[in-house]
Amino acid sequence: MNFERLRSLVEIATSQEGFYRRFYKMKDLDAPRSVSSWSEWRALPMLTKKDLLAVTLSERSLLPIPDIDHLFSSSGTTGTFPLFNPRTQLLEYEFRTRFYKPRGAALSSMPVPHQQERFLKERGLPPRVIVLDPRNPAISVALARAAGVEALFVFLHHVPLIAEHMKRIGIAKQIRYINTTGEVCTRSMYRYMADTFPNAVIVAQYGMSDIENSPMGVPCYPMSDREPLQVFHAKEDVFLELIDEHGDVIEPTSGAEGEVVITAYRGEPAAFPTIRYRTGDAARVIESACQEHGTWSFTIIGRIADDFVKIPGGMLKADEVERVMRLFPDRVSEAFELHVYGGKDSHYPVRIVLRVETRGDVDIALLASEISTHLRVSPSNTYADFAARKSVPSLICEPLLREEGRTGKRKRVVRHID
Amino acid sequence: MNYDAGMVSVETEALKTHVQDRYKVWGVPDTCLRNGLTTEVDFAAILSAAEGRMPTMPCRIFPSSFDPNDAYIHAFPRSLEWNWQTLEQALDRMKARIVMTRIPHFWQLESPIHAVCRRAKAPIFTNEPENMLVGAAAIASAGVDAIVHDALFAPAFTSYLQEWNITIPQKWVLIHNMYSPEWTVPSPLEDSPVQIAQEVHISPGVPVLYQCEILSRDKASRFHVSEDFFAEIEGQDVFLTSAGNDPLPVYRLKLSIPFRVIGSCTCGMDIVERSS
Repeated sequence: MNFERLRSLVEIATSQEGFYRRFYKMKDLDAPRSVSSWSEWRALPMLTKKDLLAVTLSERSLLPIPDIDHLFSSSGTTGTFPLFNPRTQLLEYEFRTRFYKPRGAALSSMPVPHQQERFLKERGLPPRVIVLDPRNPAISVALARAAGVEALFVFLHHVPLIAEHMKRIGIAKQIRYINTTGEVCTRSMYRYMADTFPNAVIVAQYGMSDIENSPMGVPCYPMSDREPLQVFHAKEDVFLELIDEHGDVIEPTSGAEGEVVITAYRGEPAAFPTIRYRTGDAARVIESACQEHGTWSFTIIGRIADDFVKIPGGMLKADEVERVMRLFPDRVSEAFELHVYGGKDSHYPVRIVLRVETRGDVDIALLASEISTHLRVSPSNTYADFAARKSVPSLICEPLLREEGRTGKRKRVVRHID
Repeated sequence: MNYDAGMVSVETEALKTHVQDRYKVWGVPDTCLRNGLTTEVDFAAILSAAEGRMPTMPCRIFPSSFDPNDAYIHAFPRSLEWNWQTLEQALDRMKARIVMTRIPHFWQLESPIHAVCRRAKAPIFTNEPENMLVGAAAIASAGVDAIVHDALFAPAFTSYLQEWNITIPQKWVLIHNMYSPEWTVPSPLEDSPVQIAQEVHISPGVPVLYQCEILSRDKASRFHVSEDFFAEIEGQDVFLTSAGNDPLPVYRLKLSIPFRVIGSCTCGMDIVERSS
């Protein structure tokens, strides 16, 4: 999205009474807001989920209720109050055709089924999309087989559910394309998918329930042995910024890390274009100008607020735990949960348990000790250094059980209050 | 066609020929035509035999049972043009503003309901029946005023709303499984000034019985037979034959749940209820 488009978006969003005029504290007779330079753009206040939760759906939507196609919300499983987002028919999945030519049916858990059907219809195919019911995967997969399934459009955490049933009835090899969304894919998860679905091109998209024209990030290339596993660039109707912990914009040079801020607007009709929305997602820039797409490319490295644990004098990052786990591929997979137990009177954790998926007969106490010595918690210290100084409790490892019936995302950091 | 007690007799050659032609296309045996009826087990066998050709057939696919673990569950094909008319009529007369669906995903009904909602000019919100927290939040903060609900889960959800002191929405469409022991309305809905339209489906997305505006008013279990079917009622036996453009029509499917005609409605249709 170029500057002219951003300027026009701000003007449209503030031309009528509604959310953005109130959010920008404009007076009744004020002319629509005009942004004429990048510094004026950067002076626009950033939007957060809290701002959106503070207003009703009617106050937020730029369209009258009958013109809204559907509402979409987060699942509420993280414990935060769900935000209901008005959406039009703006979703588009054109990027998929770079990776496969659809010929048949899809099994989908992506929102929303009619939009997924539209992707097939627009390509002259019957709208054959079977909705995955995560609570009833066997029948969903059986219906998908009857439909002649060849593609999966699914949340990553649903893949194991589907895979096991597809293997059981012998249809995993007919899958030619897998498009995942949701949590960050680990390399072991990718290997699992590649082994289970040997004929599939596997790509991830970067989407968010709060954004009307999600997905905002489309894959630069399919997943493979190439690092990083998932690299995205912004769609044409999306403008991305990266900010630091103070909210200042960071230049997207290779290696830069920060929180992703999204402006997304595909055009009219739009129920709610997002202007400078703080996603809470942390990203790392891969290339400042991706050779194929021009814009900067990035990989998602976790959640700003959720994926770290403060310890005295340092920070335990989920991303760092994942890096260390990869050092022991013969003993553990990359899947883990970091359980953090806080005391009533303590600001810092009193117990930290790393649940890991072990491979074979593993001395789990020794593993905990070795992970501690590799786990960086500050520029010059490891977790083991801090534990030796009694700044943190010793790291405990416990087995992580694979829950076959799990229907929600796995959280990398789980906090417990005593 | 011969009309008998308001129900239609389907002994016409044209209809038989239609069924025969369709079965030929699907490569399934038409022994039911020779036998003069289809049992539920026969029909499961027909669906099973048809599955091989399903990928190339232009149709929508639904499960043939409400029970995901049913040993006889198969894919049931319906026309791509199938429009859930009775739902559309119910949402229209209720003047639904924002519709929430609370039905299991495996029913495959989200897209057909979305199509209905677009025509009714009402946005749709899909909520898993198990996720009552988000369902309640949608009512409390997103303005949901109409709910399409699996009747089986409706009592739990209405209790949840009462427990959390959330006003029960005024417009409900309840989907009953024909094979449920009873087709009842949860008491919090029965006792309040809520509009309810009830439907009885033989399998998800296949409404056999529905209520017009008049029948829906008294919240009782009295229905009309859907225009998608011819129903023959012979004593305790009920036979259904597809009347619409189902790609794989049913022919004199003998139901194990009997119902009977109890009179006529002022709308002109026969009224049926479940026989005890």
